[in-house]
Amino acid sequence: MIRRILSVFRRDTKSSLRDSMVLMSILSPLLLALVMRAFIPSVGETTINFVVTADLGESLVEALRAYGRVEVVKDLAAVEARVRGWDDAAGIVRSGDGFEIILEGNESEETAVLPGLVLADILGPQRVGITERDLGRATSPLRPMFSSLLPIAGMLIGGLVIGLNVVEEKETNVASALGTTPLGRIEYVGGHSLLAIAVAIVIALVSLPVMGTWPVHVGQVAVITVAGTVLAVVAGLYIGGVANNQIEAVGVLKMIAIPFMTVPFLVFVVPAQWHAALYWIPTYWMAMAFRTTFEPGGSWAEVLRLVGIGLAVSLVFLGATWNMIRRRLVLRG
Amino acid sequence: MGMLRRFVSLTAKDMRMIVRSYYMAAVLVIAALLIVSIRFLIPADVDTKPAVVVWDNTGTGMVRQWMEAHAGAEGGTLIVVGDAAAYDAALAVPGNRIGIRADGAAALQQFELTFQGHESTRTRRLLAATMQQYAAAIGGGDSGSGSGGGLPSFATRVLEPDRPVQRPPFDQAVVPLAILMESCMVGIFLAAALLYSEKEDRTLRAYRTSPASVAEYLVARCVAMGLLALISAVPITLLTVGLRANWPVLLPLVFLASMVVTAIVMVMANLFNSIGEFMYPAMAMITVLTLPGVAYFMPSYSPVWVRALPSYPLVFALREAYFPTGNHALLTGSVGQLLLTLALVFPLAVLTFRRQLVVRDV
Repeated sequence: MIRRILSVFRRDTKSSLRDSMVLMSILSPLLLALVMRAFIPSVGETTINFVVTADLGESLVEALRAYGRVEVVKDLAAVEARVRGWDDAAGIVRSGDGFEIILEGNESEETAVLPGLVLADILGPQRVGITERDLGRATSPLRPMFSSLLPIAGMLIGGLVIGLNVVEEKETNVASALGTTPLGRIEYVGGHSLLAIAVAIVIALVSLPVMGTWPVHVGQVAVITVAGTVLAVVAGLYIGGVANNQIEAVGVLKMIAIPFMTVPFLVFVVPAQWHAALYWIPTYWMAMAFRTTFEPGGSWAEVLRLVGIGLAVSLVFLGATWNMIRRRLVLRG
Repeated sequence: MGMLRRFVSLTAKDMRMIVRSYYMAAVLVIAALLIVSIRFLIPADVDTKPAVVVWDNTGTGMVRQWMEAHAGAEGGTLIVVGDAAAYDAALAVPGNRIGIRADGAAALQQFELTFQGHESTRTRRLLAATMQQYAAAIGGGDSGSGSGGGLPSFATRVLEPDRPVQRPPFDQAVVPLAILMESCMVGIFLAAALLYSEKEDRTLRAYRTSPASVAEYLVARCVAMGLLALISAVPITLLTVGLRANWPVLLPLVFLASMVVTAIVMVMANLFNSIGEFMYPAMAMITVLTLPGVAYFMPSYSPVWVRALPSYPLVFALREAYFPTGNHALLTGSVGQLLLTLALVFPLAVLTFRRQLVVRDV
């Protein structure tokens, strides 16, 4: 049995390496991890945008740079054109002996109010002493959200590898040929799953350091990822079982991708009292487990509880649809 | 006439393939999921500002009163505490919280600002500047300015004072983003899947012997994806925002955006040999094109590389189409950028496609 499973695995690996599928499936999330790595601090750096003319004076322009991004443009018309741009930007120009703030009128409250406070802070006296204290939580609140997205995307990609290989076998009649061999359905599914599991684990463990989410609790991440590979297998069986050709596979993927790609965001955006509406989605529990391990103080007990429920919900899904998958994954001789 | 007939025939063929596969069903199921999520799951009121924990230790209570009167009006959660233990406990709760402790014997003398640790230097300076001006308004410090009674003001000119400002509830505000991510990008996987399927079936070889041109084939594919985008966008819009959207602007905008995305896909897809290879760069492409969604909720976030993405002006134009303010420049700017992208990408798509057909003989 093991030999037959490994045989399917070897065939999958060869086929996937031939058209660079495995390579692309691993490289693309890593590329995305690099984009995220650049993206997260840039969001954290966001304050307000000032647009000024050069006659404001170098010292004032430099002082403004301490509070926000400053663009120096050539004249008043250019300031107004920039203020009317798609993003929020406040213009500051000289007007008589003082200054004038130029707004479009639809800015966020910060862009409307802060330029005046900043100017007053630069030009006026300091009224009171101000000291700072740090709680030492240097990790951006965005990081746990994006960090959980990549390993969960790795599970989806693992599923996709299974699904596309199964569809390819259907299209090329390899599935029919396999039907004439002693290969059983469980061995067939097991063989296809090995590559998907490997892909999902590699993506999770490599993308996190590339993204800068390191150090992490490696043990907890490994447990969540390995448990999450069950989801990859379920997703792969749905794609491979339902679809008979590539177009159908893409259609099924489109539906399956929704819980994988949106739930990691929803667990952070949706208020806690509404989370019950997400309990039926297996990826919710995995996203919550990743969130727990990436946030300070994530305990083993909580991670195991979430992973356990996630596994149970995944198996309920698989059990409820197993008959349909079994019918569609028939190896015909 | 013959060209038009060929074009209609090609578009109809693509639409038939979409309907026969699970793709049309997938598009409608996802539209239904989005409608349910927007109407029943996503809250109308989401506060993204950090919670502020205030401890007025001056003995006068003036800072607390001032913060309650002003900070509350600016949104965000204000947590007022009365002693050091409660202050530390409130800040110990994980989350996006900032602490403000006011000290002084008879009057305000000092603020201690407590940050989580991830805030940028600029963010910290902005809060410090704000607290300095609050102190001036409250009448703190020894500058002898007395109780200022208000924040400093500079002459302010508003360029569009009569233009209405739309601040839709959060659940409705996500609709333009949903349309960007789903309807406008509906063709990313499908257009490529159709291409690879035709390559495998050798349909493209047969196509070479027909009088139809590569451009006609690509335009038909783009139009089919544009129609599919409308099939996705119309029910989502009708059942979330309703009829108040600017429909004559919205529909052509979604159609054009979908065509542009499809043209980009047709260039990209020719660089890969199979849907298996193409799928992963396509996922990365979707994620990158979605990043301007951050700018949508944080309009100050506008790095040059995000502004260069065609989806950046598009997301603001979609907002204008859904919640009209009369800002026509926003729409014309976005349509202009989409047309420019199409003008650049479409010839490239024709070129790469012709290379596939003729040089590589697919």
